[in-house]
Amino acid sequence: MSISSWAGFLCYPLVFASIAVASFIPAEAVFRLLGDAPSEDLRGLYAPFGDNGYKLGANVDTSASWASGPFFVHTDGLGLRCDRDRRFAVHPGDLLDVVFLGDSQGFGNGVSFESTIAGTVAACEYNRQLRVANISVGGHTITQQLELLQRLVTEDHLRARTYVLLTTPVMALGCDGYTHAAVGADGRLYDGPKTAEQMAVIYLKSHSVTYSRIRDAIRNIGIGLAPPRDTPFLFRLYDAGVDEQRVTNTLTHCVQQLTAFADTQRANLAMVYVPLTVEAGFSDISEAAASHGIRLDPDLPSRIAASVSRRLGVPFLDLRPVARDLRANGDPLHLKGDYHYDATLSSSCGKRVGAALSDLPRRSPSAAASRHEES
Amino acid sequence: MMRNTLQNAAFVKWACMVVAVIWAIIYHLSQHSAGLSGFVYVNF
Repeated sequence: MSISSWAGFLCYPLVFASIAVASFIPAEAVFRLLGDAPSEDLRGLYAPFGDNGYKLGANVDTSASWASGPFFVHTDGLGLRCDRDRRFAVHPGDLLDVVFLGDSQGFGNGVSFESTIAGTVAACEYNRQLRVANISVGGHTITQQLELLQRLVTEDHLRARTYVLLTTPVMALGCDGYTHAAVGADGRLYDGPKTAEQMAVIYLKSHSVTYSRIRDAIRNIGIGLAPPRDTPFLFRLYDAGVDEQRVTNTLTHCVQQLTAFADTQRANLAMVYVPLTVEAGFSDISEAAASHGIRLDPDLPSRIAASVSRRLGVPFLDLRPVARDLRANGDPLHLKGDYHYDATLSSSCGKRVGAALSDLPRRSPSAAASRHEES
Repeated sequence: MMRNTLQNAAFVKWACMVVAVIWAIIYHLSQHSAGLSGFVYVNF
């Protein structure tokens, strides 16, 4: 075959590829006509806070549509996650019964407020005159949550009877760290400066609907449903070779700081162990780690958290049985392609926590009355 | 040569049909979860 024949033959795939690329424009138009809209992807949710840190912005209404489906995020005037109608909004000077502290699992990544752990408790307790707030922020360590709590108490005069620390393995093993992240001009969170190329990709993702259609089609045929089992961050959390005594001492110190602050506020502190969903079926991860020559201990983070609670005399609740029971019933536990809890597990954990909190002292009738006046 | 290929109406028509079918399949498969994977970089 001559060179010109080859060139002529190659023109066909080239023309086909050009048509395929050009088709994105009419496809985008057609999907939009069918009702699709680009995801807000939590636009405006974050505000700078602390030492190059961040918190949730005040009075935000935003949403995101991830592979698991759409979810909405609303915050009150203090930047705490609440429901759309703001029935559970917190106001400066409020006397609360329970304040939840935590990271992204406490925040409820991927699920709407009503399905979060704190939201489930709040909804259950609403008719029982217990007031609940959730100051959890994705990526926050205990150090950062304490910083935020102190700000809410000193500047916004929030008071609470009980603080509940939603302790994930990430929090347990990295409690004294500090997550620095840049809050973009769009109110989204970035882990660092982006190149022009990365920003172009981000722009494409947040301004087109074809991207999400293609991504969801791939997920729905079963590709990428389960989060990866061999990520280094999982191995670090459950590494049997970790210096357990050192980690226990560090967590003890972090929780001690919280208890000391709680004492100044005459508040109680309770710890809830919030497992990663992988703990309900650990064999896959153990095998993946073994292939890298790493031995894992699935009980390590929960054992450390329980040990610290015993050492400090802090009430402790372990949510692993909730996850195990649901897994036994066939629930996937996590979002598509994401380790975070799905709505079923999240609300089940909320109910379990709510039941454990049910023996909390009730607010006085006068306090309850003032709440009605406020509303 | 490229112009010749583009002038091959049958091929262009065939390519457009195939691309349209691919988009229809994508639309069908993506029906039960529409959305964008987030870029919340700090997940925990």
